[in-house]
Amino acid sequence: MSTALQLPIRVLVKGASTVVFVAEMGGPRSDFNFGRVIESDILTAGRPVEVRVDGLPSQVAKFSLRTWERDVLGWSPDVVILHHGHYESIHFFLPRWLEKHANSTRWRPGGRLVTLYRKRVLRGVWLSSAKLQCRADRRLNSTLFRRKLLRVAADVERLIGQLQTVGSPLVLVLEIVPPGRRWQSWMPGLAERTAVMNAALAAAVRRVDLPNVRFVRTVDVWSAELDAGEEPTPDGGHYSARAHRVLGGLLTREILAWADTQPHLRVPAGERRPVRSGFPA
Amino acid sequence: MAKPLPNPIRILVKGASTVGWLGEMGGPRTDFGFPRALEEALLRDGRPVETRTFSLPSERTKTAVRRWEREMIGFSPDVVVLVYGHYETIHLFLPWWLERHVNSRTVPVRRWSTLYRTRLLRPCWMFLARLQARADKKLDPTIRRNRPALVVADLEKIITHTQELGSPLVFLFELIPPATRYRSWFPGMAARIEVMNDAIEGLVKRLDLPNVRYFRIAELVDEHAGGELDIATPDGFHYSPTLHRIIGEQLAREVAAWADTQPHLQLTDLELTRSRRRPPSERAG
Repeated sequence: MSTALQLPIRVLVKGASTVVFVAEMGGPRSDFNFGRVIESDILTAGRPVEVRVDGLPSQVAKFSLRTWERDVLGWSPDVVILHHGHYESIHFFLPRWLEKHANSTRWRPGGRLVTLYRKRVLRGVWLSSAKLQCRADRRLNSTLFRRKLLRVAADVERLIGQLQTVGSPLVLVLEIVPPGRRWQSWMPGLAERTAVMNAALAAAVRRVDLPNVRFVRTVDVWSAELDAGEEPTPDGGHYSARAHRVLGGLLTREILAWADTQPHLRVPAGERRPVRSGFPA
Repeated sequence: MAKPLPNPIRILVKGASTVGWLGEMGGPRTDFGFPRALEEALLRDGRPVETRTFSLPSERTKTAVRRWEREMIGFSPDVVVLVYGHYETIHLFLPWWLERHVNSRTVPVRRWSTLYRTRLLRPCWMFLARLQARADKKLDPTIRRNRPALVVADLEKIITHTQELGSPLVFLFELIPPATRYRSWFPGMAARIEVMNDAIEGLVKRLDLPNVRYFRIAELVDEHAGGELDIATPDGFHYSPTLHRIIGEQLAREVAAWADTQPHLQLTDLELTRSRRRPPSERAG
Protein backbone atom coordinates (compact mmCIF):
# COMPACT_ATOMS: atom_id res chain seq x y z
CA MET A 1 0.00 0.00 0.00
CA SER A 2 1.20 3.54 -0.72
CA THR A 3 2.25 5.88 2.05
CA ALA A 4 -0.65 7.86 3.51
CA LEU A 5 -0.69 11.52 2.47
CA GLN A 6 -1.52 14.35 4.83
CA LEU A 7 -4.59 16.53 4.56
CA PRO A 8 -3.61 20.04 3.42
CA ILE A 9 -4.39 23.03 5.64
CA ARG A 10 -6.89 25.18 3.75
CA VAL A 11 -6.36 28.92 4.08
CA LEU A 12 -8.60 31.61 2.62
CA VAL A 13 -7.46 35.25 2.53
CA LYS A 14 -10.06 37.94 1.87
CA GLY A 15 -9.59 41.66 1.55
CA ALA A 16 -8.93 44.62 -0.71
CA SER A 17 -5.79 45.47 -2.68
CA THR A 18 -3.70 45.34 0.52
CA VAL A 19 -3.80 41.53 0.46
CA VAL A 20 -2.66 41.20 -3.15
CA PHE A 21 -0.50 44.17 -4.14
CA VAL A 22 3.09 44.70 -3.13
CA ALA A 23 4.11 48.36 -2.73
CA GLU A 24 7.12 47.91 -5.00
CA MET A 25 5.05 46.88 -8.01
CA GLY A 26 6.68 45.06 -10.89
CA GLY A 27 9.37 43.46 -8.71
CA PRO A 28 10.76 39.93 -9.08
CA ARG A 29 8.55 36.80 -8.78
CA SER A 30 9.91 36.19 -5.30
CA ASP A 31 8.19 39.37 -4.03
CA PHE A 32 5.32 37.44 -2.48
CA ASN A 33 2.18 38.85 -0.98
CA PHE A 34 1.50 37.52 2.51
CA GLY A 35 -0.90 34.84 1.21
CA ARG A 36 1.89 33.25 -0.77
CA VAL A 37 4.36 33.78 2.08
CA ILE A 38 2.03 31.72 4.28
CA GLU A 39 1.93 28.99 1.64
CA SER A 40 5.69 29.03 1.23
CA ASP A 41 6.39 29.01 5.00
CA ILE A 42 3.91 26.21 5.73
CA LEU A 43 5.38 24.13 2.90
CA THR A 44 8.86 24.81 4.28
CA ALA A 45 7.59 23.46 7.61
CA GLY A 46 6.84 20.24 5.72
CA ARG A 47 3.06 20.51 5.73
CA PRO A 48 0.74 20.49 2.74
CA VAL A 49 -1.31 23.65 2.34
CA GLU A 50 -3.80 25.16 -0.08
CA VAL A 51 -4.08 28.94 0.01
CA ARG A 52 -6.74 30.88 -1.88
CA VAL A 53 -6.46 34.65 -1.99
CA ASP A 54 -9.59 36.58 -2.82
CA GLY A 55 -8.39 40.16 -2.98
CA LEU A 56 -9.63 42.89 -5.26
CA PRO A 57 -8.82 46.59 -5.37
CA SER A 58 -11.36 48.61 -3.35
CA GLN A 59 -13.10 45.45 -2.07
CA VAL A 60 -15.31 46.31 0.90
CA ALA A 61 -16.54 44.13 3.75
CA LYS A 62 -20.14 44.03 2.55
CA PHE A 63 -19.01 42.42 -0.73
CA SER A 64 -17.22 39.71 1.22
CA LEU A 65 -20.44 39.09 3.09
CA ARG A 66 -22.25 38.89 -0.24
CA THR A 67 -19.90 36.25 -1.64
CA TRP A 68 -19.05 34.20 1.45
CA GLU A 69 -21.32 31.31 0.50
CA ARG A 70 -19.53 30.78 -2.81
CA ASP A 71 -16.07 31.17 -1.24
CA VAL A 72 -16.58 29.15 1.92
CA LEU A 73 -19.54 26.77 1.89
CA GLY A 74 -18.20 24.27 -0.62
CA TRP A 75 -14.50 24.53 0.08
CA SER A 76 -14.73 24.83 3.88
CA PRO A 77 -11.37 26.47 4.69
CA ASP A 78 -9.61 25.68 7.98
CA VAL A 79 -8.38 29.24 8.31
CA VAL A 80 -9.97 32.46 7.11
CA ILE A 81 -7.93 35.67 7.18
CA LEU A 82 -10.04 38.82 6.94
CA HIS A 83 -8.36 42.08 6.06
CA HIS A 84 -11.28 44.48 5.75
CA GLY A 85 -11.80 48.05 6.85
CA HIS A 86 -8.79 49.55 5.12
CA TYR A 87 -10.52 50.76 1.99
CA GLU A 88 -13.56 51.97 3.92
CA SER A 89 -11.42 54.25 6.07
CA ILE A 90 -9.42 55.83 3.24
CA HIS A 91 -11.82 58.44 1.90
CA PHE A 92 -13.43 61.07 4.06
CA PHE A 93 -16.48 61.49 1.83
CA LEU A 94 -15.65 60.57 -1.75
CA PRO A 95 -17.83 57.67 -2.89
CA ARG A 96 -16.45 54.29 -3.89
CA TRP A 97 -18.06 54.33 -7.34
CA LEU A 98 -16.25 57.55 -8.27
CA GLU A 99 -12.93 56.24 -7.03
CA LYS A 100 -13.40 52.97 -8.94
CA HIS A 101 -14.48 54.82 -12.06
CA ALA A 102 -11.62 57.33 -11.98
CA ASN A 103 -8.88 54.81 -11.14
CA SER A 104 -10.24 51.86 -13.09
CA THR A 105 -7.62 49.57 -14.58
CA ARG A 106 -10.18 47.89 -16.78
CA TRP A 107 -11.19 50.60 -19.23
CA ARG A 108 -10.35 49.82 -22.82
CA PRO A 109 -7.98 52.25 -24.53
CA GLY A 110 -8.37 53.06 -28.18
CA GLY A 111 -11.53 55.09 -28.38
CA ARG A 112 -10.64 58.75 -28.92
CA LEU A 113 -13.63 60.06 -27.01
CA VAL A 114 -13.08 57.71 -24.06
CA THR A 115 -9.42 58.72 -23.79
CA LEU A 116 -10.34 62.39 -24.05
CA TYR A 117 -13.03 62.01 -21.37
CA ARG A 118 -10.68 60.19 -19.00
CA LYS A 119 -7.72 62.54 -19.47
CA ARG A 120 -9.45 65.89 -19.73
CA VAL A 121 -12.65 65.50 -17.72
CA LEU A 122 -12.50 62.61 -15.28
CA ARG A 123 -8.91 63.09 -14.11
CA GLY A 124 -9.58 66.78 -13.50
CA VAL A 125 -12.81 66.14 -11.63
CA TRP A 126 -11.17 63.44 -9.56
CA LEU A 127 -8.14 65.52 -8.59
CA SER A 128 -10.28 68.55 -7.69
CA SER A 129 -12.57 66.35 -5.57
CA ALA A 130 -9.58 64.75 -3.89
CA LYS A 131 -8.11 68.18 -3.08
CA LEU A 132 -11.47 69.34 -1.71
CA GLN A 133 -11.72 66.18 0.37
CA CYS A 134 -8.19 66.71 1.67
CA ARG A 135 -9.04 70.26 2.77
CA ALA A 136 -12.27 69.15 4.46
CA ASP A 137 -10.47 66.25 6.13
CA ARG A 138 -8.00 68.71 7.65
CA ARG A 139 -10.61 71.21 8.88
CA LEU A 140 -13.47 68.99 9.99
CA ASN A 141 -13.59 66.15 12.44
CA SER A 142 -12.04 63.32 10.41
CA THR A 143 -14.23 60.71 12.11
CA LEU A 144 -17.43 62.62 11.34
CA PHE A 145 -18.75 59.65 9.35
CA ARG A 146 -17.71 57.08 11.93
CA ARG A 147 -21.01 55.21 11.46
CA LYS A 148 -19.66 54.02 8.12
CA LEU A 149 -16.72 52.46 9.95
CA LEU A 150 -18.92 50.89 12.63
CA ARG A 151 -21.02 49.33 9.85
CA VAL A 152 -17.89 47.67 8.47
CA ALA A 153 -17.21 46.11 11.87
CA ALA A 154 -20.85 44.96 12.04
CA ASP A 155 -20.53 43.36 8.58
CA VAL A 156 -17.29 41.63 9.62
CA GLU A 157 -19.00 40.38 12.78
CA ARG A 158 -21.91 38.97 10.76
CA LEU A 159 -19.47 37.40 8.32
CA ILE A 160 -17.61 35.72 11.19
CA GLY A 161 -20.94 34.37 12.49
CA GLN A 162 -21.70 32.84 9.10
CA LEU A 163 -18.19 31.40 8.75
CA GLN A 164 -18.59 29.60 12.06
CA THR A 165 -21.50 27.59 10.62
CA VAL A 166 -19.05 25.82 8.31
CA GLY A 167 -17.04 23.81 10.82
CA SER A 168 -15.68 26.58 13.08
CA PRO A 169 -12.58 27.69 11.15
CA LEU A 170 -9.81 29.75 12.69
CA VAL A 171 -10.65 33.36 11.79
CA LEU A 172 -7.90 35.95 11.92
CA VAL A 173 -9.01 39.58 11.65
CA LEU A 174 -6.03 41.77 10.80
CA GLU A 175 -5.28 45.15 12.31
CA ILE A 176 -5.28 47.97 9.77
CA VAL A 177 -1.96 49.70 9.39
CA PRO A 178 -1.93 53.54 9.68
CA PRO A 179 -1.09 55.31 6.41
CA GLY A 180 2.46 55.78 5.28
CA ARG A 181 3.95 59.26 4.80
CA ARG A 182 2.97 59.37 1.11
CA TRP A 183 -0.75 59.08 1.81
CA GLN A 184 -0.82 61.32 4.86
CA SER A 185 -0.86 64.57 2.86
CA TRP A 186 -3.77 63.37 0.71
CA MET A 187 -5.77 61.84 3.55
CA PRO A 188 -4.84 63.84 6.67
CA GLY A 189 -7.55 62.20 8.81
CA LEU A 190 -6.84 58.63 7.75
CA ALA A 191 -4.75 57.85 10.84
CA GLU A 192 -7.70 58.77 13.13
CA ARG A 193 -10.15 56.79 11.01
CA THR A 194 -7.79 53.81 11.07
CA ALA A 195 -7.68 53.98 14.87
CA VAL A 196 -11.50 54.02 15.04
CA MET A 197 -11.68 51.14 12.54
CA ASN A 198 -9.18 49.05 14.51
CA ALA A 199 -11.02 49.67 17.78
CA ALA A 200 -14.34 48.67 16.15
CA LEU A 201 -12.86 45.50 14.62
CA ALA A 202 -11.21 44.52 17.92
CA ALA A 203 -14.54 45.10 19.72
CA ALA A 204 -16.39 42.96 17.14
CA VAL A 205 -13.93 40.11 17.74
CA ARG A 206 -14.34 40.51 21.51
CA ARG A 207 -18.15 40.35 21.11
CA VAL A 208 -17.88 37.11 19.13
CA ASP A 209 -15.84 35.78 22.05
CA LEU A 210 -14.57 32.52 20.55
CA PRO A 211 -11.07 31.12 21.02
CA ASN A 212 -10.80 30.48 17.27
CA VAL A 213 -11.67 34.07 16.30
CA ARG A 214 -8.74 36.39 16.87
CA PHE A 215 -7.73 39.99 16.26
CA VAL A 216 -4.14 40.00 15.04
CA ARG A 217 -2.11 43.07 15.93
CA THR A 218 0.41 43.66 13.19
CA VAL A 219 1.82 47.15 13.74
CA ASP A 220 3.91 46.19 16.78
CA VAL A 221 5.37 43.22 14.91
CA TRP A 222 6.48 45.42 12.04
CA SER A 223 7.98 47.94 14.43
CA ALA A 224 9.99 45.13 15.99
CA GLU A 225 11.02 43.31 12.83
CA LEU A 226 11.55 46.03 10.22
CA ASP A 227 14.58 48.32 10.25
CA ALA A 228 14.38 51.61 12.14
CA GLY A 229 12.59 54.16 9.95
CA GLU A 230 11.49 51.52 7.45
CA GLU A 231 7.83 51.95 6.59
CA PRO A 232 5.66 48.83 6.18
CA THR A 233 3.74 50.74 3.47
CA PRO A 234 6.28 52.70 1.42
CA ASP A 235 3.67 53.67 -1.21
CA GLY A 236 1.37 54.92 1.51
CA GLY A 237 -1.14 52.04 1.68
CA HIS A 238 0.27 48.74 0.38
CA TYR A 239 2.74 46.55 2.21
CA SER A 240 6.32 46.31 1.03
CA ALA A 241 7.65 42.88 0.08
CA ARG A 242 9.46 42.74 3.43
CA ALA A 243 6.32 43.74 5.34
CA HIS A 244 4.38 41.03 3.51
CA ARG A 245 7.06 38.54 4.52
CA VAL A 246 6.94 39.59 8.18
CA LEU A 247 3.14 39.46 8.21
CA GLY A 248 3.09 36.07 6.45
CA GLY A 249 5.56 34.71 9.00
CA LEU A 250 3.47 35.98 11.89
CA LEU A 251 0.29 34.42 10.47
CA THR A 252 2.06 31.14 9.69
CA ARG A 253 3.14 30.77 13.32
CA GLU A 254 -0.43 31.46 14.47
CA ILE A 255 -1.88 28.97 11.95
CA LEU A 256 0.57 26.17 12.70
CA ALA A 257 0.14 26.51 16.46
CA TRP A 258 -3.63 26.20 15.95
CA ALA A 259 -3.28 23.36 13.42
CA ASP A 260 -1.38 21.35 16.05
CA THR A 261 -4.56 21.36 18.15
CA GLN A 262 -6.68 19.99 15.27
CA PRO A 263 -6.78 16.19 14.96
CA HIS A 264 -7.16 16.26 11.17
CA LEU A 265 -4.17 18.58 10.65
CA ARG A 266 -1.79 17.27 13.30
CA VAL A 267 1.62 16.01 12.20
CA PRO A 268 3.29 13.18 14.12
CA ALA A 269 5.96 14.66 16.44
CA GLY A 270 8.82 12.92 14.62
CA GLU A 271 7.87 14.43 11.27
CA ARG A 272 7.61 18.01 12.49
CA ARG A 273 9.99 20.61 11.12
CA PRO A 274 10.63 24.02 12.67
CA VAL A 275 8.76 26.97 11.16
CA ARG A 276 11.24 28.87 9.07
CA SER A 277 10.81 31.38 6.38
CA GLY A 278 11.25 29.88 2.93
CA PHE A 279 13.29 32.96 1.99
CA PRO A 280 16.98 33.49 2.45
CA ALA A 281 17.71 35.97 5.25
CA MET B 1 16.69 13.17 -10.55
CA ALA B 2 13.51 13.92 -8.59
CA LYS B 3 11.04 11.09 -8.00
CA PRO B 4 8.08 11.22 -10.41
CA LEU B 5 4.83 12.26 -8.81
CA PRO B 6 1.50 10.58 -9.61
CA ASN B 7 -1.42 12.45 -11.16
CA PRO B 8 -3.91 13.65 -8.58
CA ILE B 9 -7.48 12.41 -8.98
CA ARG B 10 -9.54 15.46 -9.90
CA ILE B 11 -12.89 15.48 -8.20
CA LEU B 12 -15.70 17.97 -8.69
CA VAL B 13 -18.59 18.03 -6.24
CA LYS B 14 -21.62 20.18 -6.98
CA GLY B 15 -24.88 20.72 -5.21
CA ALA B 16 -26.99 22.85 -2.92
CA SER B 17 -26.39 23.36 0.81
CA THR B 18 -26.59 19.59 1.44
CA VAL B 19 -23.02 19.37 0.14
CA GLY B 20 -21.44 22.02 2.35
CA TRP B 21 -23.52 22.32 5.49
CA LEU B 22 -23.79 19.85 8.31
CA GLY B 23 -26.85 19.03 10.38
CA GLU B 24 -24.99 20.24 13.47
CA MET B 25 -23.59 23.60 12.48
CA GLY B 26 -20.68 25.26 14.25
CA GLY B 27 -19.10 21.99 15.37
CA PRO B 28 -15.34 21.31 15.47
CA ARG B 29 -13.16 21.43 12.34
CA THR B 30 -13.07 17.64 12.25
CA ASP B 31 -16.77 17.69 11.32
CA PHE B 32 -16.13 17.27 7.63
CA GLY B 33 -18.56 17.62 4.78
CA PHE B 34 -18.46 14.52 2.60
CA PRO B 35 -16.23 16.15 -0.08
CA ARG B 36 -13.46 16.64 2.46
CA ALA B 37 -14.04 13.23 4.03
CA LEU B 38 -13.66 11.79 0.53
CA GLU B 39 -10.42 13.74 0.06
CA GLU B 40 -9.08 12.59 3.43
CA ALA B 41 -9.91 8.94 2.75
CA LEU B 42 -8.14 9.03 -0.63
CA LEU B 43 -5.09 10.78 0.85
CA ARG B 44 -4.99 8.19 3.62
CA ASP B 45 -4.89 5.60 0.85
CA GLY B 46 -1.82 7.37 -0.52
CA ARG B 47 -3.67 8.79 -3.52
CA PRO B 48 -3.10 12.45 -4.37
CA VAL B 49 -6.36 14.24 -5.00
CA GLU B 50 -7.62 17.67 -6.03
CA THR B 51 -11.16 18.35 -4.94
CA ARG B 52 -13.24 21.32 -6.02
CA THR B 53 -16.57 21.77 -4.34
CA PHE B 54 -19.29 24.15 -5.44
CA SER B 55 -22.12 24.36 -2.96
CA LEU B 56 -24.64 27.16 -2.70
CA PRO B 57 -27.79 27.23 -0.58
CA SER B 58 -30.95 26.55 -2.61
CA GLU B 59 -29.05 25.85 -5.81
CA ARG B 60 -31.22 24.34 -8.50
CA THR B 61 -30.28 21.96 -11.27
CA LYS B 62 -30.91 24.57 -13.94
CA THR B 63 -28.25 26.82 -12.37
CA ALA B 64 -25.81 23.92 -12.53
CA VAL B 65 -26.46 23.65 -16.29
CA ARG B 66 -25.69 27.34 -16.64
CA ARG B 67 -22.37 27.05 -14.80
CA TRP B 68 -21.01 23.74 -16.07
CA GLU B 69 -18.73 25.25 -18.71
CA ARG B 70 -16.87 27.48 -16.27
CA GLU B 71 -16.57 24.81 -13.60
CA MET B 72 -15.80 21.76 -15.69
CA ILE B 73 -14.23 22.41 -19.08
CA GLY B 74 -10.92 23.84 -17.86
CA PHE B 75 -10.63 21.57 -14.84
CA SER B 76 -11.70 18.39 -16.68
CA PRO B 77 -12.51 16.35 -13.56
CA ASP B 78 -11.94 12.59 -13.32
CA VAL B 79 -14.93 12.28 -11.00
CA VAL B 80 -18.10 14.38 -10.90
CA VAL B 81 -20.49 14.16 -7.94
CA LEU B 82 -23.89 15.79 -8.50
CA VAL B 83 -26.27 16.32 -5.59
CA TYR B 84 -29.28 17.90 -7.25
CA GLY B 85 -33.05 17.75 -7.18
CA HIS B 86 -33.38 18.32 -3.43
CA TYR B 87 -34.31 21.98 -3.53
CA GLU B 88 -36.89 21.35 -6.25
CA THR B 89 -38.79 19.01 -3.92
CA ILE B 90 -39.02 21.34 -0.92
CA HIS B 91 -41.71 23.88 -1.80
CA LEU B 92 -45.08 23.14 -3.30
CA PHE B 93 -45.60 26.60 -4.76
CA LEU B 94 -43.45 29.21 -2.98
CA PRO B 95 -40.97 30.62 -5.48
CA TRP B 96 -37.21 30.26 -5.24
CA TRP B 97 -36.51 34.02 -5.40
CA LEU B 98 -38.73 34.69 -2.40
CA GLU B 99 -37.14 31.92 -0.35
CA ARG B 100 -33.65 33.24 -1.17
CA HIS B 101 -34.68 36.80 -0.37
CA VAL B 102 -36.15 35.85 3.01
CA ASN B 103 -33.47 33.42 4.15
CA SER B 104 -30.48 35.25 2.72
CA ARG B 105 -27.34 35.02 4.85
CA THR B 106 -25.47 37.62 2.88
CA VAL B 107 -27.34 40.77 3.87
CA PRO B 108 -25.17 43.52 5.41
CA VAL B 109 -26.14 44.89 8.82
CA ARG B 110 -28.23 48.04 8.20
CA ARG B 111 -30.98 49.46 10.41
CA TRP B 112 -33.69 49.80 7.74
CA SER B 113 -32.92 46.44 6.24
CA THR B 114 -33.13 44.75 9.66
CA LEU B 115 -36.42 46.49 10.39
CA TYR B 116 -37.87 45.47 7.01
CA ARG B 117 -36.73 41.90 7.46
CA THR B 118 -37.94 41.38 11.01
CA ARG B 119 -41.19 43.37 10.92
CA LEU B 120 -42.45 42.84 7.38
CA LEU B 121 -40.67 40.14 5.43
CA ARG B 122 -40.47 37.47 8.13
CA PRO B 123 -44.17 37.61 9.12
CA CYS B 124 -45.22 37.56 5.43
CA TRP B 125 -42.98 34.58 4.79
CA MET B 126 -44.29 32.66 7.79
CA PHE B 127 -47.87 33.33 6.70
CA LEU B 128 -47.19 32.07 3.17
CA ALA B 129 -45.28 29.05 4.49
CA ARG B 130 -48.25 28.09 6.70
CA LEU B 131 -50.59 28.50 3.75
CA GLN B 132 -48.33 26.28 1.67
CA ALA B 133 -48.16 23.63 4.41
CA ARG B 134 -51.97 23.53 4.53
CA ALA B 135 -52.24 23.25 0.74
CA ASP B 136 -49.52 20.58 0.73
CA LYS B 137 -51.65 18.50 3.07
CA LYS B 138 -54.87 18.87 1.06
CA LEU B 139 -53.62 18.76 -2.54
CA ASP B 140 -51.70 16.04 -4.34
CA PRO B 141 -48.08 16.88 -3.30
CA THR B 142 -46.76 15.68 -6.65
CA ILE B 143 -49.17 17.83 -8.61
CA ARG B 144 -46.25 19.62 -10.32
CA ARG B 145 -45.01 16.57 -12.17
CA ASN B 146 -42.99 18.57 -14.66
CA ARG B 147 -40.43 19.41 -11.96
CA PRO B 148 -38.76 15.97 -11.75
CA ALA B 149 -38.87 15.78 -15.55
CA LEU B 150 -37.07 19.13 -15.82
CA VAL B 151 -34.48 18.20 -13.18
CA VAL B 152 -33.74 14.96 -15.00
CA ALA B 153 -33.53 16.75 -18.35
CA ASP B 154 -31.04 19.22 -16.83
CA LEU B 155 -29.00 16.43 -15.23
CA GLU B 156 -28.95 14.54 -18.52
CA LYS B 157 -27.64 17.64 -20.25
CA ILE B 158 -24.84 18.06 -17.68
CA ILE B 159 -23.90 14.38 -17.88
CA THR B 160 -23.89 14.40 -21.69
CA HIS B 161 -21.54 17.39 -21.65
CA THR B 162 -19.27 15.92 -18.98
CA GLN B 163 -18.92 12.72 -20.99
CA GLU B 164 -17.45 14.82 -23.78
CA LEU B 165 -14.65 15.75 -21.35
CA GLY B 166 -13.01 12.34 -21.38
CA SER B 167 -15.82 10.25 -19.83
CA PRO B 168 -15.42 10.96 -16.11
CA LEU B 169 -17.00 8.85 -13.40
CA VAL B 170 -20.32 10.50 -12.47
CA PHE B 171 -22.34 9.97 -9.29
CA LEU B 172 -25.94 11.10 -8.92
CA PHE B 173 -27.13 11.15 -5.32
CA GLU B 174 -30.29 9.59 -4.00
CA LEU B 175 -32.21 12.14 -1.93
CA ILE B 176 -33.52 11.42 1.54
CA PRO B 177 -36.84 12.69 2.92
CA PRO B 178 -36.99 15.41 5.58
CA ALA B 179 -36.72 14.46 9.26
CA THR B 180 -39.41 15.26 11.87
CA ARG B 181 -38.47 18.94 12.17
CA TYR B 182 -39.56 19.81 8.64
CA ARG B 183 -42.27 17.22 8.07
CA SER B 184 -44.99 19.53 9.39
CA TRP B 185 -43.75 22.43 7.26
CA PHE B 186 -43.48 20.33 4.10
CA PRO B 187 -45.97 17.46 4.48
CA GLY B 188 -45.74 16.46 0.82
CA MET B 189 -41.98 16.61 0.47
CA ALA B 190 -41.40 12.91 1.17
CA ALA B 191 -43.76 12.01 -1.69
CA ARG B 192 -42.05 14.51 -3.99
CA ILE B 193 -38.64 13.07 -3.09
CA GLU B 194 -39.82 9.59 -3.95
CA VAL B 195 -40.90 10.73 -7.41
CA MET B 196 -37.63 12.65 -7.85
CA ASN B 197 -35.51 9.64 -6.82
CA ASP B 198 -37.38 7.40 -9.27
CA ALA B 199 -36.79 9.92 -12.02
CA ILE B 200 -33.04 10.25 -11.26
CA GLU B 201 -32.57 6.48 -10.99
CA GLY B 202 -34.52 6.08 -14.23
CA LEU B 203 -32.11 8.49 -15.92
CA VAL B 204 -29.09 6.48 -14.78
CA LYS B 205 -30.68 3.28 -16.07
CA ARG B 206 -31.59 4.90 -19.37
CA LEU B 207 -28.07 6.25 -19.89
CA ASP B 208 -26.72 2.77 -19.17
CA LEU B 209 -23.07 3.76 -18.83
CA PRO B 210 -20.72 1.96 -16.44
CA ASN B 211 -19.23 5.27 -15.34
CA VAL B 212 -22.56 6.98 -14.54
CA ARG B 213 -23.86 5.68 -11.21
CA TYR B 214 -26.71 6.22 -8.80
CA PHE B 215 -25.33 6.65 -5.29
CA ARG B 216 -27.70 5.24 -2.67
CA ILE B 217 -27.89 7.18 0.57
CA ALA B 218 -30.91 5.43 2.16
CA GLU B 219 -28.88 2.21 2.46
CA LEU B 220 -26.19 4.07 4.38
CA VAL B 221 -28.84 5.64 6.64
CA ASP B 222 -30.31 2.18 7.30
CA GLU B 223 -26.92 0.69 7.97
CA HIS B 224 -25.45 3.40 10.17
CA ALA B 225 -28.43 5.21 11.71
CA GLY B 226 -30.93 2.35 11.86
CA GLY B 227 -33.01 4.13 9.23
CA GLU B 228 -33.62 7.03 11.66
CA LEU B 229 -33.79 10.23 9.66
CA ASP B 230 -33.61 12.33 12.83
CA ILE B 231 -30.17 10.85 13.50
CA ALA B 232 -29.04 11.03 9.88
CA THR B 233 -30.22 14.62 9.39
CA PRO B 234 -30.41 16.26 12.86
CA ASP B 235 -31.58 19.67 11.55
CA GLY B 236 -34.16 18.09 9.28
CA PHE B 237 -32.34 18.52 5.95
CA HIS B 238 -28.55 18.36 6.22
CA TYR B 239 -26.52 15.21 6.88
CA SER B 240 -25.01 14.67 10.31
CA PRO B 241 -21.19 14.83 10.54
CA THR B 242 -21.15 11.01 10.87
CA LEU B 243 -23.26 10.51 7.76
CA HIS B 244 -21.10 12.98 5.83
CA ARG B 245 -18.04 10.96 6.80
CA ILE B 246 -19.66 7.64 5.91
CA ILE B 247 -20.74 8.99 2.52
CA GLY B 248 -17.24 10.38 1.92
CA GLU B 249 -15.60 7.06 2.77
CA GLN B 250 -18.03 5.05 0.66
CA LEU B 251 -17.44 7.39 -2.28
CA ALA B 252 -13.67 7.09 -1.73
CA ARG B 253 -13.89 3.30 -2.01
CA GLU B 254 -15.79 3.54 -5.28
CA VAL B 255 -13.51 6.25 -6.66
CA ALA B 256 -10.37 4.30 -5.71
CA ALA B 257 -11.69 1.12 -7.34
CA TRP B 258 -12.52 3.04 -10.52
CA ALA B 259 -9.17 4.91 -10.47
CA ASP B 260 -7.38 1.55 -10.48
CA THR B 261 -8.89 0.89 -13.90
CA GLN B 262 -7.63 4.23 -15.26
CA PRO B 263 -4.06 4.20 -16.59
CA HIS B 264 -3.37 7.82 -15.64
CA LEU B 265 -4.48 7.32 -12.04
CA GLN B 266 -2.96 3.94 -11.27
CA LEU B 267 -0.54 4.11 -8.41
CA THR B 268 1.33 0.91 -8.99
CA ASP B 269 3.82 0.59 -11.83
CA LEU B 270 4.03 4.31 -12.34
CA GLU B 271 6.80 3.96 -14.89
CA LEU B 272 4.56 1.79 -17.04
CA THR B 273 1.89 4.48 -16.91
CA ARG B 274 4.45 7.08 -17.91
CA SER B 275 5.70 4.96 -20.81
CA ARG B 276 2.11 4.54 -22.01
CA ARG B 277 1.82 8.29 -22.14
CA ARG B 278 4.93 8.63 -24.31
CA PRO B 279 4.27 8.95 -28.07
CA PRO B 280 4.33 5.56 -29.88
CA SER B 281 7.43 6.51 -31.90
CA GLU B 282 9.40 7.12 -28.68
CA ARG B 283 8.07 3.90 -27.15
CA ALA B 284 9.15 1.88 -30.16
CA GLY B 285 12.64 3.35 -29.92
